[in-house]
Amino acid sequence: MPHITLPLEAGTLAPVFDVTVGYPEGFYSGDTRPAVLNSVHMIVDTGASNTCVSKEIAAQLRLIPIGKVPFESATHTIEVERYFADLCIPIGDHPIHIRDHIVLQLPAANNKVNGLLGLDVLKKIRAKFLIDLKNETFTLET
Amino acid sequence: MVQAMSSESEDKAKQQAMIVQKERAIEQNYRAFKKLLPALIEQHPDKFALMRDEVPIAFYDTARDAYIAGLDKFADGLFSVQEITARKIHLGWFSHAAHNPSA
Repeated sequence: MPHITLPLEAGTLAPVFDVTVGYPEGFYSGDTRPAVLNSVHMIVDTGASNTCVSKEIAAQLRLIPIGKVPFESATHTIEVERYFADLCIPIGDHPIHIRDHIVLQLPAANNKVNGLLGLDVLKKIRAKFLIDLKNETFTLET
Repeated sequence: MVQAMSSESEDKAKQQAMIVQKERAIEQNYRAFKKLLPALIEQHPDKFALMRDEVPIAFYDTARDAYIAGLDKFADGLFSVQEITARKIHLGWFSHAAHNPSA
Protein backbone atom coordinates (compact mmCIF):
# COMPACT_ATOMS: atom_id res chain seq x y z
CA MET A 1 0.00 0.00 0.00
CA PRO A 2 1.34 3.50 -0.81
CA HIS A 3 2.25 5.28 2.38
CA ILE A 4 4.43 7.95 3.93
CA THR A 5 5.86 7.99 7.44
CA LEU A 6 6.66 11.30 9.08
CA PRO A 7 8.15 12.28 12.41
CA LEU A 8 5.65 13.88 14.78
CA GLU A 9 6.66 17.48 15.46
CA ALA A 10 8.32 17.87 18.83
CA GLY A 11 6.12 19.74 21.28
CA THR A 12 2.84 19.57 19.35
CA LEU A 13 3.16 15.92 18.22
CA ALA A 14 1.43 17.04 15.04
CA PRO A 15 2.16 15.50 11.63
CA VAL A 16 3.24 18.10 9.08
CA PHE A 17 3.28 17.29 5.35
CA ASP A 18 4.96 19.14 2.53
CA VAL A 19 2.18 19.32 -0.06
CA THR A 20 2.84 20.89 -3.43
CA VAL A 21 0.21 23.48 -4.29
CA GLY A 22 -0.24 25.36 -7.53
CA TYR A 23 -2.83 27.48 -9.20
CA PRO A 24 -5.26 25.40 -11.22
CA GLU A 25 -3.81 25.21 -14.71
CA GLY A 26 -7.05 23.77 -16.09
CA PHE A 27 -8.94 27.03 -15.63
CA TYR A 28 -6.49 29.24 -17.39
CA SER A 29 -5.72 27.65 -20.74
CA GLY A 30 -4.26 30.41 -22.86
CA ASP A 31 -3.15 32.32 -19.82
CA THR A 32 0.49 33.26 -20.17
CA ARG A 33 1.19 33.13 -16.46
CA PRO A 34 3.90 30.67 -15.53
CA ALA A 35 2.91 27.64 -13.50
CA VAL A 36 3.79 28.51 -9.94
CA LEU A 37 4.20 25.68 -7.50
CA ASN A 38 4.99 25.88 -3.87
CA SER A 39 5.67 23.37 -1.15
CA VAL A 40 3.30 24.13 1.71
CA HIS A 41 3.86 22.84 5.26
CA MET A 42 0.41 21.42 5.99
CA ILE A 43 -0.57 20.07 9.34
CA VAL A 44 -2.78 16.96 9.05
CA ASP A 45 -5.97 17.78 10.94
CA THR A 46 -8.93 15.40 10.95
CA GLY A 47 -10.86 17.99 12.96
CA ALA A 48 -10.73 20.43 10.05
CA SER A 49 -13.50 20.21 7.46
CA ASN A 50 -11.47 22.00 4.79
CA THR A 51 -7.95 22.24 3.43
CA CYS A 52 -6.37 25.68 3.76
CA VAL A 53 -3.34 27.70 2.75
CA SER A 54 -2.14 30.96 4.27
CA LYS A 55 -2.89 34.26 2.52
CA GLU A 56 0.83 34.69 1.86
CA ILE A 57 1.01 31.35 0.06
CA ALA A 58 -2.13 32.18 -1.92
CA ALA A 59 -0.53 35.47 -2.98
CA GLN A 60 2.75 33.77 -3.95
CA LEU A 61 0.85 31.25 -6.06
CA ARG A 62 -1.36 33.98 -7.51
CA LEU A 63 -4.45 32.01 -6.54
CA ILE A 64 -7.52 33.98 -7.51
CA PRO A 65 -10.18 34.34 -4.82
CA ILE A 66 -13.57 33.08 -5.98
CA GLY A 67 -15.68 34.05 -2.99
CA LYS A 68 -15.81 34.16 0.77
CA VAL A 69 -16.97 31.92 3.57
CA PRO A 70 -17.53 32.48 7.29
CA PHE A 71 -15.40 30.41 9.62
CA GLU A 72 -16.10 30.27 13.34
CA SER A 73 -13.14 30.28 15.69
CA ALA A 74 -13.41 29.64 19.42
CA THR A 75 -14.10 33.31 20.04
CA HIS A 76 -15.49 34.95 16.91
CA THR A 77 -16.42 34.64 13.25
CA ILE A 78 -13.87 35.42 10.54
CA GLU A 79 -14.62 35.72 6.84
CA VAL A 80 -11.98 34.02 4.73
CA GLU A 81 -11.39 33.74 1.00
CA ARG A 82 -11.79 30.58 -1.08
CA TYR A 83 -9.58 29.68 -4.02
CA PHE A 84 -9.25 26.90 -6.54
CA ALA A 85 -5.87 25.15 -6.43
CA ASP A 86 -4.14 22.01 -7.66
CA LEU A 87 -2.59 19.83 -4.95
CA CYS A 88 0.06 17.14 -5.12
CA ILE A 89 0.37 14.90 -2.06
CA PRO A 90 3.64 12.94 -1.78
CA ILE A 91 2.56 9.41 -0.83
CA GLY A 92 4.56 6.42 -2.02
CA ASP A 93 6.15 6.32 -5.47
CA HIS A 94 3.16 7.93 -7.18
CA PRO A 95 2.18 11.28 -5.69
CA ILE A 96 -1.56 11.90 -5.65
CA HIS A 97 -2.73 14.85 -7.77
CA ILE A 98 -5.96 16.62 -6.93
CA ARG A 99 -7.08 19.14 -9.52
CA ASP A 100 -9.32 22.20 -9.14
CA HIS A 101 -9.82 21.74 -5.44
CA ILE A 102 -11.34 24.47 -3.30
CA VAL A 103 -8.99 25.57 -0.54
CA LEU A 104 -9.65 28.20 2.09
CA GLN A 105 -7.50 31.00 3.40
CA LEU A 106 -5.92 29.87 6.67
CA PRO A 107 -6.86 32.48 9.27
CA ALA A 108 -3.62 32.06 11.21
CA ALA A 109 -0.23 30.81 10.12
CA ASN A 110 3.28 30.70 11.48
CA ASN A 111 6.72 29.82 10.16
CA LYS A 112 6.25 26.08 10.84
CA VAL A 113 2.78 25.64 9.42
CA ASN A 114 1.28 27.56 6.52
CA GLY A 115 -1.45 25.15 5.53
CA LEU A 116 -3.93 22.62 6.75
CA LEU A 117 -4.71 19.23 5.21
CA GLY A 118 -8.36 18.77 6.11
CA LEU A 119 -11.02 16.07 5.94
CA ASP A 120 -12.11 17.08 2.42
CA VAL A 121 -8.77 15.89 0.97
CA LEU A 122 -8.23 13.08 3.48
CA LYS A 123 -11.61 11.58 2.48
CA LYS A 124 -10.86 12.03 -1.20
CA ILE A 125 -7.60 10.08 -0.95
CA ARG A 126 -9.19 7.52 1.45
CA ALA A 127 -6.48 8.06 4.03
CA LYS A 128 -5.71 5.64 6.84
CA PHE A 129 -3.50 6.68 9.73
CA LEU A 130 -1.15 4.94 12.09
CA ILE A 131 0.05 7.06 14.98
CA ASP A 132 3.03 5.54 16.76
CA LEU A 133 3.61 7.50 19.94
CA LYS A 134 6.42 5.16 21.04
CA ASN A 135 8.56 6.17 18.07
CA GLU A 136 6.79 9.51 17.56
CA THR A 137 5.92 8.82 13.94
CA PHE A 138 2.81 9.25 11.85
CA THR A 139 2.04 7.03 8.87
CA LEU A 140 -0.52 7.95 6.24
CA GLU A 141 -1.61 5.15 3.93
CA THR A 142 -3.97 5.26 0.96
CA MET B 1 15.90 48.74 -21.31
CA VAL B 2 14.29 51.69 -19.50
CA GLN B 3 11.20 51.28 -21.68
CA ALA B 4 11.00 47.55 -20.80
CA MET B 5 11.25 48.34 -17.08
CA SER B 6 8.58 50.99 -17.35
CA SER B 7 6.28 48.60 -19.21
CA GLU B 8 6.89 45.94 -16.56
CA SER B 9 6.00 48.31 -13.73
CA GLU B 10 2.89 49.43 -15.65
CA ASP B 11 1.86 45.78 -15.98
CA LYS B 12 2.37 45.26 -12.27
CA ALA B 13 0.34 48.36 -11.41
CA LYS B 14 -2.43 47.22 -13.77
CA GLN B 15 -2.42 43.76 -12.22
CA GLN B 16 -2.57 45.24 -8.73
CA ALA B 17 -5.51 47.47 -9.70
CA MET B 18 -7.33 44.42 -11.10
CA ILE B 19 -6.76 42.49 -7.87
CA VAL B 20 -8.16 45.38 -5.82
CA GLN B 21 -11.23 45.58 -8.12
CA LYS B 22 -11.74 41.84 -7.89
CA GLU B 23 -11.47 41.83 -4.09
CA ARG B 24 -13.95 44.71 -3.89
CA ALA B 25 -16.41 42.85 -6.14
CA ILE B 26 -16.08 39.70 -4.02
CA GLU B 27 -16.65 41.66 -0.83
CA GLN B 28 -19.72 43.49 -2.19
CA ASN B 29 -21.17 40.27 -3.59
CA TYR B 30 -20.58 38.52 -0.30
CA ARG B 31 -22.39 41.25 1.70
CA ALA B 32 -25.38 40.96 -0.65
CA PHE B 33 -25.23 37.16 -0.58
CA LYS B 34 -25.38 37.07 3.23
CA LYS B 35 -28.63 39.06 3.19
CA LEU B 36 -30.13 36.78 0.53
CA LEU B 37 -28.91 33.51 2.07
CA PRO B 38 -32.06 32.55 4.07
CA ALA B 39 -34.23 32.82 0.93
CA LEU B 40 -31.61 31.16 -1.30
CA ILE B 41 -31.34 28.19 1.07
CA GLU B 42 -35.06 27.57 0.57
CA GLN B 43 -34.94 27.96 -3.21
CA HIS B 44 -31.52 26.56 -4.18
CA PRO B 45 -30.11 24.51 -1.29
CA ASP B 46 -26.54 23.23 -1.74
CA LYS B 47 -26.13 24.91 -5.12
CA PHE B 48 -23.43 27.42 -6.04
CA ALA B 49 -24.50 30.95 -6.93
CA LEU B 50 -22.66 32.91 -9.59
CA MET B 51 -22.75 36.50 -8.30
CA ARG B 52 -22.30 39.66 -10.36
CA ASP B 53 -22.94 43.23 -9.18
CA GLU B 54 -24.39 41.95 -5.89
CA VAL B 55 -26.99 39.77 -7.69
CA PRO B 56 -27.04 35.97 -7.99
CA ILE B 57 -27.44 35.49 -11.73
CA ALA B 58 -27.34 31.69 -12.04
CA PHE B 59 -27.09 28.55 -9.92
CA TYR B 60 -24.90 25.49 -10.50
CA ASP B 61 -24.35 22.06 -8.96
CA THR B 62 -20.60 22.59 -8.46
CA ALA B 63 -18.33 25.53 -7.70
CA ARG B 64 -16.25 24.56 -10.72
CA ASP B 65 -19.23 24.83 -13.10
CA ALA B 66 -20.17 28.18 -11.60
CA TYR B 67 -16.63 29.48 -11.89
CA ILE B 68 -16.20 28.35 -15.49
CA ALA B 69 -19.54 30.00 -16.37
CA GLY B 70 -18.27 33.19 -14.72
CA LEU B 71 -15.04 33.10 -16.74
CA ASP B 72 -17.09 32.63 -19.93
CA LYS B 73 -19.59 35.39 -19.21
CA PHE B 74 -17.42 38.06 -17.61
CA ALA B 75 -14.06 38.73 -19.20
CA ASP B 76 -13.29 41.38 -16.55
CA GLY B 77 -13.33 38.64 -13.86
CA LEU B 78 -15.55 40.73 -11.59
CA PHE B 79 -17.77 37.97 -10.29
CA SER B 80 -17.77 35.52 -7.42
CA VAL B 81 -19.07 32.09 -6.51
CA GLN B 82 -20.88 31.48 -3.23
CA GLU B 83 -22.07 28.17 -1.81
CA ILE B 84 -25.70 28.19 -0.67
CA THR B 85 -25.46 26.42 2.65
CA ALA B 86 -25.81 27.03 6.35
CA ARG B 87 -23.02 24.54 7.11
CA LYS B 88 -20.23 25.97 9.19
CA ILE B 89 -16.53 25.61 8.46
CA HIS B 90 -14.52 23.96 11.22
CA LEU B 91 -10.75 24.14 11.21
CA GLY B 92 -9.94 21.81 14.09
CA TRP B 93 -6.94 22.95 16.03
CA PHE B 94 -6.85 26.24 14.13
CA SER B 95 -10.39 27.05 15.24
CA HIS B 96 -8.88 27.54 18.66
CA ALA B 97 -5.62 29.06 17.46
CA ALA B 98 -7.09 31.56 14.98
CA HIS B 99 -7.28 34.37 17.50
CA ASN B 100 -3.69 33.75 18.49
CA PRO B 101 -1.32 33.87 15.48
CA SER B 102 1.63 32.78 17.61
CA ALA B 103 -0.09 29.47 18.46
